[in-house]
Amino acid sequence: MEKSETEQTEVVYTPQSPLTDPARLLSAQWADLKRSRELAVRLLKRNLSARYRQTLLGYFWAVFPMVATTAVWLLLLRRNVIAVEMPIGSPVLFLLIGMMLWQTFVDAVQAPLRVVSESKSMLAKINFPREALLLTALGEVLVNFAIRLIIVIAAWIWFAGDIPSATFWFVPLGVLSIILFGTTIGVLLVPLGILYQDVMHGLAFLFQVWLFATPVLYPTPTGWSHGWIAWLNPIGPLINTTRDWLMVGASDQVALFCTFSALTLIVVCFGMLLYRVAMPILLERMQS
Amino acid sequence: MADPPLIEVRNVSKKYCVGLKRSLVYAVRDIGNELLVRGAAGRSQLRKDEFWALKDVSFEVNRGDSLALIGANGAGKSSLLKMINGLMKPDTGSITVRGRIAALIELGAGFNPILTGRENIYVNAAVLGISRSDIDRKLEAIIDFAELDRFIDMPLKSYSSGMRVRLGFAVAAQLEPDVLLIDEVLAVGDAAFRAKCYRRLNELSNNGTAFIMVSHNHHSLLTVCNCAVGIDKGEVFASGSVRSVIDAYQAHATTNPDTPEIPQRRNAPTSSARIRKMGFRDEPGQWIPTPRTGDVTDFCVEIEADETLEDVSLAVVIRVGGAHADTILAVTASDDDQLQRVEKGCAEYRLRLQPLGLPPGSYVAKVSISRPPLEIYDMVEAFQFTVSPGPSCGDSIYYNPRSWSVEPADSQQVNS
Repeated sequence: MEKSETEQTEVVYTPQSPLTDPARLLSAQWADLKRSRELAVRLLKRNLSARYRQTLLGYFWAVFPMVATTAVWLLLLRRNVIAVEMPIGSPVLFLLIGMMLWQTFVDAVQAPLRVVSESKSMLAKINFPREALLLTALGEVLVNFAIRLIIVIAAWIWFAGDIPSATFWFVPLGVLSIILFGTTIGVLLVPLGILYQDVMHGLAFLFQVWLFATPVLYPTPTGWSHGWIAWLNPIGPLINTTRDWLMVGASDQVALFCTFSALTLIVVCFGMLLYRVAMPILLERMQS
Repeated sequence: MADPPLIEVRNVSKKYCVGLKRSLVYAVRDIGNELLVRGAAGRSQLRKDEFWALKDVSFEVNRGDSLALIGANGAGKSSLLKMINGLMKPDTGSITVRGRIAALIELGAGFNPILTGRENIYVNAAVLGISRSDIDRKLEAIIDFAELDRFIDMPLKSYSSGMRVRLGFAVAAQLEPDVLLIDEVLAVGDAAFRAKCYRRLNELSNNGTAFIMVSHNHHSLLTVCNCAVGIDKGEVFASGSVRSVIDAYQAHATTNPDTPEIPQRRNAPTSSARIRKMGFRDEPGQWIPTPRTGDVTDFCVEIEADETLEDVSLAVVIRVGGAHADTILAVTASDDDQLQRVEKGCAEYRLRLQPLGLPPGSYVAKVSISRPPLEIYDMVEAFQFTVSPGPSCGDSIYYNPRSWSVEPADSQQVNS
């Protein structure tokens, strides 16, 4: 019979923390991550088509904040309402690229919590690889990034930006680093965010303030890339290094970029473990 | 040597917290403890505001078994299923699962109302862990099973709830697990579709799939399952054959009967007649807390009328206790052309059941007094009562008064 051929798996559920055997936990998680790819793709397709089937403007909503902020900021600059010394080159491209990277970061922070929240009823009733939801979130972030990229490329051609410099090939690395950094924060926030609504409300407010505290709409002030302030707000160096690679060439913040990227890689592993360990406890609180 | 059991539940307990705020605080602390790999010992102790939803539950399920979990709402059956399914962790004890497990706890997980039925099949299947190639192969079979060919490319939000359930079951029916957990989901849908679902379960069972099934419909448990565990307030009070556990459950339920009188009404109606209390009287006319199967019984409704009313009808609809349960008896005086006159003051409207044909169990009655066709004086939505065992009903769904005999054969009949 077909059944006897399949391997007899044995699972034991006990009150013990799964971290008593971290190696086993990590390998189980890695296996689930691979196992969940198909489900993640399916859920991503579902979310994308459902999201845009019930809107008139569709994918426009992914680029609207970035375009609007750039436009308003340009207007304020032209009218001298705000006095910011812009770097040499096209201010439109500087702002647009900065906003694209910033929006992608914001997206990456919010996506994990949003996707997990939306799947509460499914999580509470079906045992599917939970990592699929994180992959789905990552997928949504990448799709949104791709849509924004189209606008930026169009603007690049329109404003006749320079031929990208030699560091152009580092740009994808920069983008990946920004997405990973955002997603890591997002994953770390999932447990608390599922339990307390405050996290979701707080994030929306936080990003408004955070944007102005980060050199996105203005160049990095001199001294920032060396002092403690860079450590306080790692997303600044990540965005500016990537933008410099694209527009200027060399960046004076590369060292910070590498440090933060490496740290992110370590912290994301912890985030994944936390997600896995917290999930059964969260489920008890999300019963229908 | 015999195969080890597919599922072993050993001394499993689970605690819950009563207050929401506190339960969230506990959740944060529990996550912290898990990360620091400590506090496992403390799990067996109750903290403030906690109670045991399950306490020291043990049982086994072997290949080919179909186990019924029997118990009142809130007894802990669903929590147990969730732990076996690996959704939650036990607070003490252990659960060992050998082989693939699947759960019919919610049909249509991951359905999105904006997508078409066809798209949702793929989503739902992916959530259940069925691969895309499997679905490609079985798509037509699924659509056939759900009886939805004309609607399959319409958005799901235009489906009726019955159609969604059919689609959900049709996808889930493609699973071929070693153990299937079923929680009440088969109670919905029309009779024909339910019959189809049971046929599919039967097929799975013949292929060696074991079941753990939760249902308030004792009749279906009796047909599907071959063993049972009874749970009350989180503890196992009986296990063995389905019949014996159901009997024990009913005896259990009848020892602490709900008072037959309806409690103080929160918002008494302002119409000219009101229901004051209701209950059962035996043949000599004494109030009895629990009527007995097979006895002549009066269902009595005391009415307080502000004025004398003509043509008053009493309607009684009795259902088996539990969600989505079937109506087992529905009678109205007006259908029987037995409209009554109710004098001003207090009067007792009686429905004589000769004899009471309900088998032992717990029931919910919906009772209304009205003047047909439209004027409803008063209505009681859920009057709960239990029926105690009288003469044996076996697995019957109603008691039929009967006698047995052997008579001399009719000599004119031709033997062929």
